[in-house]
Amino acid sequence: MTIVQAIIIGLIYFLFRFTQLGLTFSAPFFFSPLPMSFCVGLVLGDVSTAVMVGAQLQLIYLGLVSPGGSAPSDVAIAAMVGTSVALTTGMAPEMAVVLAVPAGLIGRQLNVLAYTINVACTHLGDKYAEEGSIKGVIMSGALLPNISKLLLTIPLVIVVYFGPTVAEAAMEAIPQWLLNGFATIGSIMPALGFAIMLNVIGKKQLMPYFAVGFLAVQYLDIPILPLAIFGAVMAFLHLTFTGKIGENAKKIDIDEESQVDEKHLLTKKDVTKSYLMWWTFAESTHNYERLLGHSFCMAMTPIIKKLYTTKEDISAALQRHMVFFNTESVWGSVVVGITAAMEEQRAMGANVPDSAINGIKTGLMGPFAGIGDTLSYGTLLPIILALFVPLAKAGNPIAGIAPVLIFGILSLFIGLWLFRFGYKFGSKSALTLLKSGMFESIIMGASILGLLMIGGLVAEYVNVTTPLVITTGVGEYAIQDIFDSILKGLLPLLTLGGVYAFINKVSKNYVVAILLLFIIGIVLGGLGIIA
Amino acid sequence: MAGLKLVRIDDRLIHGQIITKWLHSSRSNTIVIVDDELVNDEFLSSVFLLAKPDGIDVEIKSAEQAAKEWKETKLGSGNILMLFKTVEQVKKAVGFGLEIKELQVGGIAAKQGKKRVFSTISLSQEEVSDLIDLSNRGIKIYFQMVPEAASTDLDSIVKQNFS
Repeated sequence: MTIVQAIIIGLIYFLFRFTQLGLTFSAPFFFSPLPMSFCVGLVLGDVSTAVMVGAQLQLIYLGLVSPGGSAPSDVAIAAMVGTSVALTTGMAPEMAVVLAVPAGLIGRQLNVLAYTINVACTHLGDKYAEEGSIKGVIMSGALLPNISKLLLTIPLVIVVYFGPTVAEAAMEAIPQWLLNGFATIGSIMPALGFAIMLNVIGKKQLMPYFAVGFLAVQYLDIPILPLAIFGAVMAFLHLTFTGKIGENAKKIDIDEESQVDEKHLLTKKDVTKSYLMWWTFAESTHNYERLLGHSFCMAMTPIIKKLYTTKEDISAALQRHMVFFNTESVWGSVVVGITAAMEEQRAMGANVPDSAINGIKTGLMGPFAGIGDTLSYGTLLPIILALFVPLAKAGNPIAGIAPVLIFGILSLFIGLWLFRFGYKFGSKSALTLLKSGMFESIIMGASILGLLMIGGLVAEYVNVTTPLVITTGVGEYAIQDIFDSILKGLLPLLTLGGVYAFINKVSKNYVVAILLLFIIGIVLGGLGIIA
Repeated sequence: MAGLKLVRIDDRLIHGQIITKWLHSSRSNTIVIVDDELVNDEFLSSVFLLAKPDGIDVEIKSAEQAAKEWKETKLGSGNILMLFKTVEQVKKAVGFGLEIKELQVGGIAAKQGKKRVFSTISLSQEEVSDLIDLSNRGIKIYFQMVPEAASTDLDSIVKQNFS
């Protein structure tokens, strides 16, 4: 690795993680390691191996949801460290994971620092809002925080540059039994990702789909991709039989007459501009004080510019929207659209006081965050990633970039549609959407598909076997054979059950869970009980 | 056993942290929102009643009503995740006779005159004194965002920020 390569890798992290520009394309870097591994591979000239490492890491972090900036681990840093070490030292992906996971936990602190920088910028934004300076509000939210975060990139470049050398030396000093333990950690850890995902979508009555996925892969050797097609068919049938889709299903009940108003001050272009502003900067100003408040105000600037002319009105509107706001930014787009409609009503003279606008914003942001987090990061993104894990495992470069493109483009348009819908029908649109049962159906369908795939992935990728042999007078019995005669893949299933019970009953603290899994892995693997 | 599985102050009420994390980890099947304002807001009430995951019940009550029903029926047979928007509402409900053993503070947005004390939680001087009052009544108060993150108790928050 050259220093230039290390700097480029640092800059890629800066672009997708620190600035978080272009919400739907940067979000996959926040929630999944595979895209970052792909980028490291591009820079270091071996995408094939890079996505293999990424796939191994991806299994661990599948289903990572971090509502309200509560991410316990920085998966992009984990991917950066793990992939660059594996590529420069030739370390096996399963080993690289053991280094990557702690790096992700420590790297998390950099994000806390980044959020702290964002607070300062938001306070500056307040000042500009007071002065009625639209440009100032945008600059303090778009330029300042991002330029200052370049500084935070420096420690990452150093770690990436020196990491492989340090890791190589450490690996040489480590005894064989500990290496066995590390390998075991690598094979247990994917169970953590699946257990986390089960926590989000694993409803009791849907668990049979998990069983189907598991058994299909274990006994029928169905590859994951065709399994997903089966899953989609089953989800469709389930939704049809339960009346969620089909003739008797509820529909989006659009009453064209219920449109907010015939007259408009805003053009379609203004509305699209506002959405694009939201899409570009939604997460860029994220901080612990106002969360996405500053970004919300930035999204409103094209609207404010068009609707208000006097300094007082502009300043009041800017300040109105600098307050605390937090939602899931894709599905929560509808709230931004609704607010645009309310501002327009107000500018046309309707009696829409500050408290009404604020009430709608703060009332709706929570519910749509609940729906959005479940949909975007609890189901859609993990399913798309899971589809490509087998390809990534086989070293196919497409698998590193396809999930970002599919999720990014899909979410970009979902957000646009919701934003326009919210603008067109105002606050009523929220009820219309919720009443249509559309979210429930998508969550249900995606959960079924997701569970079926987790079942398959557990069978395929949680590789836990035991080399233990019982010697009796008659002969030797491999314990693994006994397990296999009961149920193929019994140990992987038990591992998943164990990890699931562990994170739910023993320690909900993610860091503690990972540390203990490490210890268990080292003990069981080191003693040769499992392999 | 039915009862209050989790009591939390969170001004966004039902959102991502509740849906994707706490509902599951607290093993609740019913969300009871206690808020005098929301109970009278027909539009937002319907939003909260509709924006819930399949199989979960949502009820919205005033502080007085919640306390009354608690005394009469322990609020029914569900496993309850109780959400308050404000410290003031908790104080009110407890004043009316709602018995809670633990109170989790999970989200109170920053505003002028408030001090940020823990991740996304900001408190005013008045809210702090109210929390101390509640704590003196024997309620264990702690600050936590999501189950997998660390929590802090009221004492340390007060010591660090308000003394």
